Amino acid sequence: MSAWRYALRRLGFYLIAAWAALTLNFFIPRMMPGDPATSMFARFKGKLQPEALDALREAFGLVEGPLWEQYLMYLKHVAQGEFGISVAYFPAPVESVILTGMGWTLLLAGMAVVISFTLGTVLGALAAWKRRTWIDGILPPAFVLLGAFPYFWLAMVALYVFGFVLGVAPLRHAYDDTLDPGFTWAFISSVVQHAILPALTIVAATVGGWLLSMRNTMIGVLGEDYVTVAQAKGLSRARVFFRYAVRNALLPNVTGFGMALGFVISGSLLTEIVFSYPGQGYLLIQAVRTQDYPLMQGLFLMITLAVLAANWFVDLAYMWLDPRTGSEVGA
Amino acid sequence: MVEPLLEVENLRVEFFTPSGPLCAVDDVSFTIGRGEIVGLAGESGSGKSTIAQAILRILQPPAIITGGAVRFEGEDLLGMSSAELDRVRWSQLALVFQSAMNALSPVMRIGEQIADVVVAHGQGTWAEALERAADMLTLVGIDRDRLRSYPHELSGGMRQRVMIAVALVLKPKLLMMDEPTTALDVVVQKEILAQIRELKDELGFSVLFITHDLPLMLELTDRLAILYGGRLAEMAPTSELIADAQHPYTRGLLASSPALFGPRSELSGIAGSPPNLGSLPSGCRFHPRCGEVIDRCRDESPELLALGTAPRVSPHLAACHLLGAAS
Amino acid sequence: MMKKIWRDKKARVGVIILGVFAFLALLGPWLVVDPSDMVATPLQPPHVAHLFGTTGQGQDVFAQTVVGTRTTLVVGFIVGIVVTGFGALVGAAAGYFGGWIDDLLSLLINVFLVIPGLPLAVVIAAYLPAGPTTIALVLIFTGWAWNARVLRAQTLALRQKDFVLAAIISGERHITIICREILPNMSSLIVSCFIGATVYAIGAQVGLEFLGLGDVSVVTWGTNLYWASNDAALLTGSWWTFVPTGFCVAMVGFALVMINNAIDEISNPRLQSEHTWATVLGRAGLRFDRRATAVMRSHG
Repeated sequence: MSAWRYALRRLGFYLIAAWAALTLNFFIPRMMPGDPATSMFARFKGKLQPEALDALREAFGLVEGPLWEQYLMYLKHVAQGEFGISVAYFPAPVESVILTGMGWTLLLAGMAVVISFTLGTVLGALAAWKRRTWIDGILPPAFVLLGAFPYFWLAMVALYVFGFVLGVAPLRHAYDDTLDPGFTWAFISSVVQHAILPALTIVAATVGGWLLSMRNTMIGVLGEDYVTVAQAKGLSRARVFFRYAVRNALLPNVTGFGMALGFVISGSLLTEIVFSYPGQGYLLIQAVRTQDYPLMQGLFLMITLAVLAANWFVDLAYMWLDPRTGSEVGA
Repeated sequence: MVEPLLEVENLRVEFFTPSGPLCAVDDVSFTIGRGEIVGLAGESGSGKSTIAQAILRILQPPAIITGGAVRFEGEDLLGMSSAELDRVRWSQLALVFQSAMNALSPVMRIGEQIADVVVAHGQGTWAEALERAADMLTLVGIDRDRLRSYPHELSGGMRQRVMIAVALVLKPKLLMMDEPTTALDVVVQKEILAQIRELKDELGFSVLFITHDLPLMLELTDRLAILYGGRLAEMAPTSELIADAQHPYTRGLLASSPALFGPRSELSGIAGSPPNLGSLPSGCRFHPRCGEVIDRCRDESPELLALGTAPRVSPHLAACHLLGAAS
Repeated sequence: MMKKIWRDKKARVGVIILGVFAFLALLGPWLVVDPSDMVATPLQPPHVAHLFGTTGQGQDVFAQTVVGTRTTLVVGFIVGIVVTGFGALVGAAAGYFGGWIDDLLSLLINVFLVIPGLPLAVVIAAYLPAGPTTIALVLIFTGWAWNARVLRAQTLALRQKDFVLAAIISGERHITIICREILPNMSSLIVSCFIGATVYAIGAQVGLEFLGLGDVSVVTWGTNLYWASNDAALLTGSWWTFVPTGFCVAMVGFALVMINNAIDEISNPRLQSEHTWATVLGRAGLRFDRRATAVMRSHG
């Protein structure tokens, strides 16, 4: 099997996962007690034109007819990018509401996750390498403790200390409301200012996880013959560390990165809420507060699809990192 | 008398486990002369691999070398700092591991893994080192285009040849090989052994060859040491050992090697299993499995004694009470 | 096992912390004032009468923190147990039977792993009546896959062991083999999975309740934080309404992780050996050098 067949096979898996998410999304409202879908439409009555109401019903597949027909109708609408109409942002369609927040979430969570993974991996590798020194004595337990706090709680404390008491960080939103969005220096620096604290809290909350997992794989790798050989060959410490040990320990960690992505994104959504950061997390809590089911479900789908896509990119990165990918031996 | 290339003297290695220290190598002494091929044979757990790794000082925790000396051209490797070791290791003495699959980094091209030794020891630039790596590959019978291959793209035999190339690239004076052919099929095994002999003649290094495969040893080595439970049981020039084995354990090993004693002779083998380092028997460590055991064996550990009275360069040594009783 | 955990310093700290919270969960509601009662002026900082201050509704934060322990921990442990049990069942079945059963279950496991948990939990919880039961059900549904994956891998390894093969050849029933041979032989891993799942359950539960998906009239750590945020704790600077609860969540999580690490260490002979080895080395005044085996020639 070639590397490209591996990439395609993974893509196939993500398509199955996406289909599973779509199907869950379809069945959840139908399986719940008390017919929530009907009560949801009751809320729209009077607000919407009958034609608009029918369109929304179609988007949810809530049409007359057998279940499979409803299901096909629902799939058709999702395929066209129609997720229904938002209650909270009435009468905006869900897909356009979600798109306004997508960029902010990608910016914040994406940046934070990359920084946290890089930092955690480096520190974890270092902790394993410097075993039985103070670095390894302090770093892991300190980060375990930090990681034990809920993300959003850390966010609240950070916001309280830096925003409220010290006043060095903005209290809410993604940029200064008085500025017009655009490629201006003032706007960009405002965006950065607003992103630093939320990003740092996400990093603080997640870096321990990467650190510990890298440390553990690295300890395993340091016991491998090829590291012993590299040392015996008289290579420099840096070369043994980076080229032999870290390079190999990275592989399982990248796999773990993909798998933990969903979890980390979940946490960063909660962080957005605390900072009133206008991303998917903020929309999610608006949806919960106003019982905006279409928006909630649309968010679930969009976030899931984004995570699946990110996972596939991680797989591609893995393919590039591990020459054995797709070969018999590497399996 | 000429100074030997390597002198191992009363080497002792212990593994510090929670249930107490385990002595994996106990008071082992031997020498390797220039150009000599010395074999180290024993069952698994006899300490043979531990000895090779202790000589290079690459044993991992929980091992500690708790006694003895290892002199290479007169210099004690056990007294060296890691910086001094870096200078000697690989340029003077190198080790081929049992499994090349594990000893080569799976995510690096083999060319880089041969060449980086050269660069690290200041013997050339990357370009020159890669050129030398290609020459080494040719020398061990691999196409030089394979420089850019990854370990998983090679067969088991080829990987082991690559390891030999990695070990020989700095032209060390001593090549240690820890069961280099165990994982390979017989045909490839023969090819590689022939190659080692050829390379030895060409480059003139000494060899410490470690295996549990006695017939292989008998073909290859000049001198042979038999290990049992971390101690030397017997050591002699190979031909003498075949003709006149003294230790019951050695005789048992020889008797269970069909290749030597006719194709269909009955395999006598040795009853029982190798000793557990955690609960070594008292006295002679072999006595529970020995067919010729006498009372003394149970209480008293036999000393390694030379056969005959005339001093020899490579004496025939054995550690058995029967030997003392006979003389 | 228990004795060994107790002997480990860090694990002992964990056990003690956990013991304190277990005590609070058991008896807490009888030790403090009613956490829902308005007992004083709202948003008072900590002082003698109200150790942790008061909330925006004038409730006692200390009482809320103590009383919140019970529901939070009970839901956490129940979810931990169910998630581990279900994960063990699915994982063991996938690893033991192999073939198409494994293919199918692995696919299911991997799909659940890759779908982000929080948005899914939100969607489900929003349709169900709010309350601890809903939270528990949702967390079980979204959280079982990780343990199933870990335990499947271990089952695959055990499947090759002689004692399992012997049981198969002797014609024992599959269910007997899984329950008698496989599950008992990975008990330390199952315990570790259970602890991990409980940590997850407590964190995720607090998160969902913070979002307002719990029953906001039930006092739990999650709803405490929900109310703190709802009453604009940050804008009023009333840090005492959220700091104590967060510390409690972290303390319990930290305690569980410490115990888990100790179990790992105890059940891992390699780590044990290394510990002994380091002690010997330390006593001889030698430093660990990765690049050269230690030499202690004075020894013995």
